[in-house]
Amino acid sequence: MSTFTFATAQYESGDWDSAPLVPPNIIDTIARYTEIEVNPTGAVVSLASPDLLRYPLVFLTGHLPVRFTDAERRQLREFLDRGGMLFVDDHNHDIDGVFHKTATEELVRTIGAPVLLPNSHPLFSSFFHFPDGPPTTTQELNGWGDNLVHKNLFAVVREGRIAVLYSSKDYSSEWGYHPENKRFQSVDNTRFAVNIVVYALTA
Amino acid sequence: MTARERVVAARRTLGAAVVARALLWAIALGASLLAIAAVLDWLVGAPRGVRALVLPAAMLVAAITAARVLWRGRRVRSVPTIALWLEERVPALNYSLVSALESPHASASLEREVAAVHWMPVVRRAVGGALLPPLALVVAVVVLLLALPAGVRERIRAPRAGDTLLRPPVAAAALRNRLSPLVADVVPPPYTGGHAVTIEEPSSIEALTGGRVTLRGRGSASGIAATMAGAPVVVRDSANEWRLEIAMPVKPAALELRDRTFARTVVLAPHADSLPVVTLIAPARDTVMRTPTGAFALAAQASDDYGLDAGWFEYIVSSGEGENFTFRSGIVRRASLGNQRGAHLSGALDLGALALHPGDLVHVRAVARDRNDVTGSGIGVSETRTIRVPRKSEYDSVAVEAAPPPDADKAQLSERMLIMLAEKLQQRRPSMARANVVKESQDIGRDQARLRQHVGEVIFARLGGAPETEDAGAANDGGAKLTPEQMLAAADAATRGAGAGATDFEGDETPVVAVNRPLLEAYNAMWDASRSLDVGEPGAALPAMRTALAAIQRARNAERLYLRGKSPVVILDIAKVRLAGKRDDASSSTLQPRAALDSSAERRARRFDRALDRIAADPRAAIDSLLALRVDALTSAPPLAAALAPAIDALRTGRDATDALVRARRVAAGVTVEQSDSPWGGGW
Amino acid sequence: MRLPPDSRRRLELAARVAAIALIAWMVVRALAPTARVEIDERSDSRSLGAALAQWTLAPVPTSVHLSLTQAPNARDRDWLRALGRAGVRVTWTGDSIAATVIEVAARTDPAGGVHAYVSAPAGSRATLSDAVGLLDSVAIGSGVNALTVPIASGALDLGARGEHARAAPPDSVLPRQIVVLGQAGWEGKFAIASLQERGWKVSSRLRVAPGIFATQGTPLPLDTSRAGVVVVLDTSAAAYAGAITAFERNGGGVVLAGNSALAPALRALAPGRIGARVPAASLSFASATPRRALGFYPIVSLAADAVALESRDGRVAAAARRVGAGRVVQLGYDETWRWRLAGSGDAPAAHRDYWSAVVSAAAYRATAPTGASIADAAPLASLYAALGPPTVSRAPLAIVGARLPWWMLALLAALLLGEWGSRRLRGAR
Repeated sequence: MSTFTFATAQYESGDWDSAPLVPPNIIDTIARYTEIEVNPTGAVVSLASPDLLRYPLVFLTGHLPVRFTDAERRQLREFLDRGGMLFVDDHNHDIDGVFHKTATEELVRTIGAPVLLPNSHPLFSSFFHFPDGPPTTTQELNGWGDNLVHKNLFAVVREGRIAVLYSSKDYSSEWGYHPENKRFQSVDNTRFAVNIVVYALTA
Repeated sequence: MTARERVVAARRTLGAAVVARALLWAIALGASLLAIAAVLDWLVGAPRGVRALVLPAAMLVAAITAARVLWRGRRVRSVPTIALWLEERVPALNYSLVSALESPHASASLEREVAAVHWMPVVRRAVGGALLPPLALVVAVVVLLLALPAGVRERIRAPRAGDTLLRPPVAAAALRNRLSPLVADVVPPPYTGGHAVTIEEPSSIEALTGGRVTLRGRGSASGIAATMAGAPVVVRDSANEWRLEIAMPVKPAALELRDRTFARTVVLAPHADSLPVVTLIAPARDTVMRTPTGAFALAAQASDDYGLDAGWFEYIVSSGEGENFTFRSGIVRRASLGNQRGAHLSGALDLGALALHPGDLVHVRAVARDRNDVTGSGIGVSETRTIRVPRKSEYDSVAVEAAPPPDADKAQLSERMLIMLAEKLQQRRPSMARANVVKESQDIGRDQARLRQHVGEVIFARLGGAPETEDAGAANDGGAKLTPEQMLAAADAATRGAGAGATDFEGDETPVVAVNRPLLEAYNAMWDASRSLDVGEPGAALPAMRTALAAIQRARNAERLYLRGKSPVVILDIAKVRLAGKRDDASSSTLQPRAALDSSAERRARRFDRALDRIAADPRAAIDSLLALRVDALTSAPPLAAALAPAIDALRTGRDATDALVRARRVAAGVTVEQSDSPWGGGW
Repeated sequence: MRLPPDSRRRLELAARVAAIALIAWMVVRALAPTARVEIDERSDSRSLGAALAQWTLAPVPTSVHLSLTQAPNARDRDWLRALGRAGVRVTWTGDSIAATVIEVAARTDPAGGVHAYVSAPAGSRATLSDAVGLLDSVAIGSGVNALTVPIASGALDLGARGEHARAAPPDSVLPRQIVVLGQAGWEGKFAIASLQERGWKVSSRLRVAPGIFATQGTPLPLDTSRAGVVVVLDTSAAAYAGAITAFERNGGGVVLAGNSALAPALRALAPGRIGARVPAASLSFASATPRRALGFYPIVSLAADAVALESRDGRVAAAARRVGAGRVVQLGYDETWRWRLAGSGDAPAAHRDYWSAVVSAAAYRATAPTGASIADAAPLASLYAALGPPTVSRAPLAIVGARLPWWMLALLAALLLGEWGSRRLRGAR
């Protein structure tokens, strides 16, 4: 049985590595709640590399403008055409910001425009139940970014499946801490990550 | 007048008659050819190519006729011949005319004798007899030509595309099929600057989305119905024709025409306007600038299939660090490109005006827009280049972030290993049998070949090796893409000349080759090493292997380095935390099934079979069915659409369509052949 | 030399008597030819139809020999067999007849269609046609030659070297659903995706955590009336081993993928034991042999009744066997999803076809033959069955249909004419 490896996308134009603690935190969360065989170390894979096709779920984040090179766009398109899933999170949580605008433009060029994901989508009940949709992050009203609570995620859906999941909720900041610090939380705020991974592995 | 003078006068008259006769016969025969061609064309319909030859042929016939008549009448120039001719026809002359002309001094009695005879009536009668037949023929042919319908004459006089409608129908109006002949005039959208095209008897019309298509036929529009994608299309009267106008749709569609019991289908196959292709030439690569001053030259090449409207450069300045960033953006050197199909953009980015600070990042790209005002302007963008201003603390830092090793690094490690293996083999060689040396050397050679292939793939991927992407460079974009053969040639060129030290591009090297120069050198050196290893000469391979290693080292140095602090390393103990979390509010989920793909293939195959069944009984219905199937297949199964086109054309023109239909059926049925030695009959 | 009148009259009388005797003998022979006369006939392929009609009329030949260049059709074969049963010795030769065979089996596939298994002389070029026309042609290899025909109309006809074999496709089979059991992971996700995209109905139960599953459809209980195949991805499905075994023995199909056969309860079903995992033999997914880039669990110690379906470098990667009323396919690959994502060419389509072939190999299939009247699946073999092997005939050459030899008639004519001519010449009437 193949092991699930959490992969972070490296792209040329921006700070792809702005959330280095997110991968180990999510890996820890997957191990805590599920029996999924998970690789204890994540992987970083270049968006332009054929190695992208070795990781069917890839995480992309950053603050800076997202401008795909031709090779990155081509490889990403092939990745998504073959059934891969990309999870994009705006580390600025700013829908008026450069990351959001440029990343959205690149996604439109590559695969199509993300549309609003209804909060009744199976993603929100694939493991834990989130009846109100994506859990709010503490980053959304911290005075930075657009200072708005984004009640929905966005997605590019293909043949009934999420190919690209887009978040403006700054999960990169929300989940960017050492897994050991989970013990200080009354409710683990990374549980939604389990839903994303379980959805990717089963849907 | 003397006898001689009178003969000369007669000669003049007869000479003029010969010329006139030549002209009349020339006109008569030339016009006859035109008339015959016009009548035949009216009855059976001649191809345009044949009709185009009629007028020149008629002129040629006229010229030949005139020449022949003149040649036959050449003897009219001779006075004695005229005299003899007169003697023959005027017995009263009694040979006196010839005698009078022959003797140098004519006697008065001969002159008196000749003067007494009046021969002009004879001459006049002869002239009349010579000119009347051709004149009559000319009149008859002219009457015939005038009696023919104007369209028939026009088709012979000036054959052109679309004149099939000028040919008057032969059948009675009540029995006439107004859907044939059919002419389509296709006018591309104005922004393309293209010319209108006329197609006769179209079964399929290919044109740019948004183009105007006008279909014309003979007769009135009353009773003709047209639908496209289920929606009716208005058919109007225009002079003696009916016509309808539609815009080329975005998706393929079938235009159904119906005239009483007659029906006809025309496939509309649109093709879309491509986005402009933009290649950023300068800056050629990402740059790190310690002191951001001066103007940064910008250059780009843009091209479009129908014409460019405008081009410019965009920049975004990102300032800040950690979680705190600010952004500024702007446009440089917007230029109107005046509908050119290819254009060069140039400009300069004033770094001083941007007021950059250490840690800032500038993203620059070139953008071009086409003139598509039908479906909306298409915007093409180039790759983005980044200009970075490092912080002071980063100048001498060796704290390189643990980013994934660039692909060149993996190659470096592997090449080191191969060098070690080759060196060890070379050391052990004196004590080994030759066959073993060769075998081990070839093993190393195979790994070297794999590594070379890996380096090749890295270069190829960077050079945009795969064709046909949305923003990929066109063939004339300045060499952004290289085929493997070109890459090998570039690798070969990279190892000549300046060689080891250069990492910047030189001369007229394309920037993309220049950026990858060290890797190209490594690629070529690996080729040399492989050759020596394959023949069992590890010692001869070592210098090339070391060259390759050095080149990879230079490539690594030329890569952009993220000079940031080291990321914290988190060590996870999966076993310790496994299932340690509370799952009280977790539950099983229900998944939705996926839909099957491509179930339409079977439907298309069955539609094809049903159309085949109809061919014998109702060929027109079969053709319409195949046309409709082709419309469907244009988007969903292009190979089937391509296979159907020749079959439909053959059926429509009455040719043998068997081979084409068999080929199309093979594509539709999708038979696959498997051959194996397995005895398991389970369809393995 | 002139004969004496008396001698002449005697000769005339003798001629007349001989002619009458000859006529009588011919009448007797025509009326009762078979009792004592051996009539041997011959024919070839071209004139066989007419010859059969003639042989069936009296006098029936004693033996017939056929020199065939083409296998006779079913009607002619039956006729020959009937002649044989009626007492005629029928022999034949036909060295140049090409052996052609076609068998058509329903494809257990949501898209329908048939598999046509064909055989003809190795190296020959054979054509496959249906009622509408030519479908394809194939160069006959020495092993199994299978053509997959997604859509066929009417009977399929295999033509090779002038011979034709025909078979009618059986009634279509509606495949039942597939049940997938295992741990949540990429292999399960993409195997299910490929099967569903191919048109299979799939139910699944994928384990995510203790007591927590991702379920699709109604995978349980396992019932052959609702499911055709169970795909077991890994050892986590060992909890259902009892149900799987019962399902299989009742005729259901089982696919044991990856290391699922390590589970003791499933080991009894498997065609073989699982060996140590073998890594990928290639770095890239070459179009011709893409699975070389996959690691797999080799299947060792194959059961006596197991069949190796796929081998790699001398190791068995897939095997099958029948257990009870069902079939079990064991697949050593556990990461075919890598092929779908990273394979070259149209790897997703190839992955779909592969998984469809895997479950088809295990699935139960019911068939209802159709079109028996037009089938002639193996003409040469049928000829053997009808008439036995070819033998050389010892029958002398004789004209087909010539009951009375020509010389007899000529002799009769000569006798009569001679007698009459002699009488007339001497002035008698």
